[in-house]
Amino acid sequence: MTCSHHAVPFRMVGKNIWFGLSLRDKKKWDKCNKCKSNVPVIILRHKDVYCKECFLSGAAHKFKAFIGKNHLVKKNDFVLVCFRSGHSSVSLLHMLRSALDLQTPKKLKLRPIVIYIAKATCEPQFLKEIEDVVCSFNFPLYFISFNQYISNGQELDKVLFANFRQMLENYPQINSFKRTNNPTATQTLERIYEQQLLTEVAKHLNCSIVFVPDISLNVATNLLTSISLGRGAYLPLDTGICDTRDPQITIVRPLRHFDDKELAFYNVYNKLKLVVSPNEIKKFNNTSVQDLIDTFVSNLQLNYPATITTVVRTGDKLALDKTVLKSKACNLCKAPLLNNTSEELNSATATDFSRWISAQLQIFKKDESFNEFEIKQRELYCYACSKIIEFVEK
Amino acid sequence: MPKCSAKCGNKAILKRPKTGDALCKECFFDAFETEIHYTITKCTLFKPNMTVAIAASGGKDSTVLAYVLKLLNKKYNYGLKLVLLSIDEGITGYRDDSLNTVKQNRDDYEMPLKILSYKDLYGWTMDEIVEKVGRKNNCTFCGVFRRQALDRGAALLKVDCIATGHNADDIAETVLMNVLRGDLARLKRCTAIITGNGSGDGIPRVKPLKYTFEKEIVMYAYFRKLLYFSTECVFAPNAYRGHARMLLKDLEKIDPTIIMNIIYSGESIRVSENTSLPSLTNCTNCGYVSSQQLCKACVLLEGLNRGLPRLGIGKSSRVKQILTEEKYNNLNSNSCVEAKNCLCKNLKDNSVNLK
Ligand SMILES: [Zn+2]
Ligand SMILES: [Zn+2]
Ligand SMILES: [Zn+2]
Ligand SMILES: [Zn+2]
Ligand SMILES: [Zn+2]
Repeated sequence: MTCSHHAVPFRMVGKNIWFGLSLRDKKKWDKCNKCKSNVPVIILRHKDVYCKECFLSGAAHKFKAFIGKNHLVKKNDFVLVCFRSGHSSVSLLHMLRSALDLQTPKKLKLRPIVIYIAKATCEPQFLKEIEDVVCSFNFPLYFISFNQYISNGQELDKVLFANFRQMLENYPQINSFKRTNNPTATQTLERIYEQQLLTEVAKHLNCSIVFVPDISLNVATNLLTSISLGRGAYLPLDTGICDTRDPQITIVRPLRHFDDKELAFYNVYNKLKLVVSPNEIKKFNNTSVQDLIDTFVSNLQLNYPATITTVVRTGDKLALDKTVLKSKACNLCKAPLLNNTSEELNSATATDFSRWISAQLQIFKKDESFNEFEIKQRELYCYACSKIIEFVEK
Repeated sequence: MPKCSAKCGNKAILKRPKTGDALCKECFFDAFETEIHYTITKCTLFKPNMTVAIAASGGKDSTVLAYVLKLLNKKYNYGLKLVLLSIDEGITGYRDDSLNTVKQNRDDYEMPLKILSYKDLYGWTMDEIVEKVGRKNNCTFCGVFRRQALDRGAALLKVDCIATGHNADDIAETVLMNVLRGDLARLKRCTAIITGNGSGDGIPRVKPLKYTFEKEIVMYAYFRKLLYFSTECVFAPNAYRGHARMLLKDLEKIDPTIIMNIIYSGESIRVSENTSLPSLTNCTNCGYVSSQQLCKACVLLEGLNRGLPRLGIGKSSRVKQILTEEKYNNLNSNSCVEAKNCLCKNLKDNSVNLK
């Protein structure tokens, strides 16, 4: 399946860029779209061609414009940057470093701190690679083990390490994150806890912002996943430009309008080393909603790449319902609870009714009224979380 | 099989995909019907003395809808006048079987049936259109005319409301499809249980089976021994609907309640206020909702009636522009799949004599 480093069509680098194109197309595309003079080296979105210089300056501009336009950071903010295996994180660090080092008024003013969340087994060699690449950009780096956080998250000091060797010394042999017999619930909980980890580490390190390296493919996958889990109201948080569900910490997805190919080329032309976990290649057996949608979206990326862009742009245009802004937060995912008004029937209540009538048919038959059916208010957990709460360890 | 969940003492014969409950046949009938009754009353889909046209295709959804509406109308005194409304596209050799099924529904459920042809609605049969525009271009007509036929038919019959057989699976599929094609306007509307009565004089459409699973509709029809016409719809889905359908089927295998999750998502999605959606008005000619002054059907009809069915018809450059856009949209929206699999092409393959 498409883990980020596989999808790159390296054969398209250089002169083979025209592979598969007709003579007419070649003619149409013999000059860079932007400068109209240089010979193009990359074709994006199946239609726009750019020379190396225009492509790189375009990518840098897109990144800076995203940060600027959305007024995401205040001057000299500490920003926690989440490092993941694959092209995107290396690109993100390079874009940050380049923007910070500018000598023009457009210079970006923020202070990144990088964090790597180690999951499952960890190869020291891979952790060393992370250390090398982050050091080469001259950013501070922390390591944290997901399992240690789960078992001992109250004391962040004891599980947050500036050096991966220390983390490995303290690495627990047992896996403290218990997997449930429901793969969808397991993956949903893992994601919720990971987000919680990032938020807490950010607070601990005085950061107000977290950058996660989600690219368009990830955003589209998360968007369809959230819809399938019944989290439609929370798409702006789960997949939007920024997640503001925590009052102090904003999680931002600055690469959401980049695709894998763009970043692969960005890294190649900037001579950046790819850092990929040896455990990266996942086996997809499609037993969870997440894996199934991962496969579905990867196929879209391959055959209908424009659809991914469409889905991401759709996500950009969604908002939280204003009436929930002041509501209590879900105890699990921390998104604001929707109020279930008794006037309007919705899918949640219709399901509750199906469950009620299947058990209480005799009661209903007595007077054929719905008075005994009480419309459930979800006051502790949101609709989606109430479906997985049974899998959470007390 | 375990005992029936409804505590009637009988043995269960089926497991409900929506809730996992095991029910006996009689309790399943009661639960199935009561849920639809709950939806109808909770959402006030009907008012007493309304004339309701049930969109009848002869398929399982509309057959079950007609049966249950008749039953509930009597049992709970809705006071509705129910009629069956079928559309005959007027393509030789097609529809005969499904129309026979609808006629059987009419006799079984003792409901008046009105079959309206494209000739009644538009003044042209599909065969005549094919003859005029050729097989290459007529798919535009198929699609546009099909979308409006029910509304035009309902207006012709002067009914107060149209009830369609869209079930929970259809709605979940439409939510996914509108996300994939980025159609925010439709995404916003597609989970509404009543549509079309918002602004203009359009006839309201209601979906009483909105929360009913397709699997349960099939079970209900089977255990009630209802007669329906069970071939796949010949109108092939467009590429987006195809993808959405495939994804939904796979998700359903993991957990059938995902269908309800997706509907819940669709119901609670909010579009940001600073996003402009195409505003809809009513066609100045026929009143059908449209994003243009003249709806597509009227534009196409104008061309046909002037004897210039293709591009470049008429003097109106706006009509021309709309037609060009239509053609452009067709090129861009992957509807090549739709066009390739459209009814008229299928018929050609099956060597049905069109002319
Ligand atoms: Zn250039
Ligand atoms: Zn929640
Ligand atoms: Zn029973
Ligand atoms: Zn056709
Ligand atoms: Zn019109």
